[in-house]
Amino acid sequence: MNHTMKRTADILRKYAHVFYKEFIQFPFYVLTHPIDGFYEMKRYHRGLLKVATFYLVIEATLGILQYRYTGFLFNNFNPATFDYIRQILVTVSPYAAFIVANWAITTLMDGKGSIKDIYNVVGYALFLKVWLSIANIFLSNVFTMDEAFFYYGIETFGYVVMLFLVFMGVLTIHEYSLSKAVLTIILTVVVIGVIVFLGLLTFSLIQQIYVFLVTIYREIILRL
Amino acid sequence: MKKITLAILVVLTLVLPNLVTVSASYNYNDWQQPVPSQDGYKVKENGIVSGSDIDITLATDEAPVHLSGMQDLFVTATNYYIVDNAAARIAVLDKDMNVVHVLGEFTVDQDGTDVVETFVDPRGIYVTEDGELYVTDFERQQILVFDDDYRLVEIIGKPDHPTYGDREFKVKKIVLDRTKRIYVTVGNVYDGIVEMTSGGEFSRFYGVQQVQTNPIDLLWRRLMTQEQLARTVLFLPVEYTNMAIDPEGFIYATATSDSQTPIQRLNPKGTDVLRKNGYVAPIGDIVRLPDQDRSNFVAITVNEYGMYTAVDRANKKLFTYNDEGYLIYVTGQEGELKGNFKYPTDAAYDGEDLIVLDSELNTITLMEPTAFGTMVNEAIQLSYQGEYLNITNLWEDIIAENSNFSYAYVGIGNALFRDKDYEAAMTAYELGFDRDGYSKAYEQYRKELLRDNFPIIGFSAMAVIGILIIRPIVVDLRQKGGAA
Repeated sequence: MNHTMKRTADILRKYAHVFYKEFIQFPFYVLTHPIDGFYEMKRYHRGLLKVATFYLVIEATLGILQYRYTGFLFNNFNPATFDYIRQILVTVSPYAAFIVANWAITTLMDGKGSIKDIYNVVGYALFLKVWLSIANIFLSNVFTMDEAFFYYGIETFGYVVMLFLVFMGVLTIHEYSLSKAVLTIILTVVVIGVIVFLGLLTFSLIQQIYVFLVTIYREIILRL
Repeated sequence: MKKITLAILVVLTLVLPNLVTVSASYNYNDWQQPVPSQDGYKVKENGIVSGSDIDITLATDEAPVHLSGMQDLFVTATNYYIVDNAAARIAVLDKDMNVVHVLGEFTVDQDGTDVVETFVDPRGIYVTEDGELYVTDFERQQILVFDDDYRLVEIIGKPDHPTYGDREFKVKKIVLDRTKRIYVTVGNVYDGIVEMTSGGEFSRFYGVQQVQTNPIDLLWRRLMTQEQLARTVLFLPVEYTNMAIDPEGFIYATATSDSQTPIQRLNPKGTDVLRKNGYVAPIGDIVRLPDQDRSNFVAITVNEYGMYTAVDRANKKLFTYNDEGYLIYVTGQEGELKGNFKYPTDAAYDGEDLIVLDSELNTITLMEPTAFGTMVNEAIQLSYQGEYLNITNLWEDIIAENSNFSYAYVGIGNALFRDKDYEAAMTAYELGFDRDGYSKAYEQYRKELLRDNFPIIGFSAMAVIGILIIRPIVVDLRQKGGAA
């Protein structure tokens, strides 16, 4: 009995250690040393897909947590129109679009990073933003309107750091110069626009075809 | 059998409209969505008076004249004064709608001889507490002052002042403050309301409406040549349309639909101090149907406890707000049914009642608060007077009548807050979506919480600090002990 308990404790300790090392320590290292961090991530395969996925998943579900647990003063979600699935899609799609668009552009522009690298960059860049947002959920229940500055300040800081890290990540994994990195980021935004446009086009076409088929079906049913 | 069914149906159609009051009223919730609400005002019994029933024939007239173009209304304790700009007369009615006096002709002293003159296009009227009548005439470009026997006392013409310049003095609406300073809106004068001394001297322009531009227009103007610019329409600030004055001496002014602040409450300095704590800004309809115009306010009236009703001519509705800026009632809609309007020109409070003029239907509509409206008005009046504590029951009754009326929870929150029950006040404010109130209550609650638990918090903090200081020393000592 005592023996099994000790073994479980050992396993738990091991997992806790791995979690700390991979999910906290290395992302924090990337945060504080972006160039070295992203370089090591690529060169020595220190970036783990599961870590990036972990943070992306948290980011995706964060909207729901915020809706559920943000204090009344800072909670502007309308429960009458809130939709879990839509909230997740709305949060995830910009990241997904960025990853695809950046990959599409950098393959054409001699980028050295693979789509996996870009995915890792985005995931690790979310590290600080995610934890700050979680902290903010707690803080929103403690703050009054007078302290709203801190709440919004923390939120903005998280976003700014994330954007900075994504930029540094793109610069490092594709082995770009500064000007070329800026250019690719601008082009990525353009490509995101193209993706959105094509997406809307596809959807509206599918809808029209669907309506067309339904109309034919109804005509046939009525005439039979 | 068929006949019986038919008879029942006929009876039902006759009875039902009287039994079922169909309430089309609405309000806006915290997410700016329209929600059903109850009517605040209903038409009084025999409350629709047709202008054609009011005889405003003067002694000198040959054919009878009736009210036909009601423009402006002023209510005193005993009388209604109605400006008719089609007949160019002013009808003085008592509260039972009997004509007391018709003002249409007056004698003007011209070079020592008395000449009988008439109004040409009267637009506005203000009656002072001692019974003096101030009438604006758009075409005559004058403000005519009459004493309480309807004799002409004074004519105030175009101001002779360098700031006013040589612009025309097409006066529209008029308001006086307690010291008889005159405030008039003038057509094609975009600098604001014209303020004059009690003697009729120009003193300044009062109040400001921002010039409305948009980036695309500005870009186009950049690209235009001088000749093109000369031909385009000028960017002009929006005009004030009407005014009302409250007992504290603040002027409520309405402006056309282009304005970002179509309702303003102007302090003596001329700055807008309207409170906007409501769920939606006081600009009329927030959510509009695809073909619906922005609310266009043409008149405003304010009662003694800060509630004001603005007349929206675009949508033919009356919007009533309280002193804090919460939308309380929306009354009426376009139509010819009882309580609907076609071309409302003015509205005025008569105590709790509301009187509305409609120049196309040519009616005077007398409205009174509904059962719901009476309760809400009473609660708002008592809140305005600072009696928050005793009206919790009243607010609860209001919620029982209309659970969409979230403002009632704010009232309950205010009562609980003043009762120092901060935790309950927080719940009430949350139900009433009053974030400022919630924040204030929470601040107090948090303070109490900290004070009550200070021993525990202080002890834990000291313990943590103590451990942080002592631990390195212990570790150090142990290492030294091990080495030794």
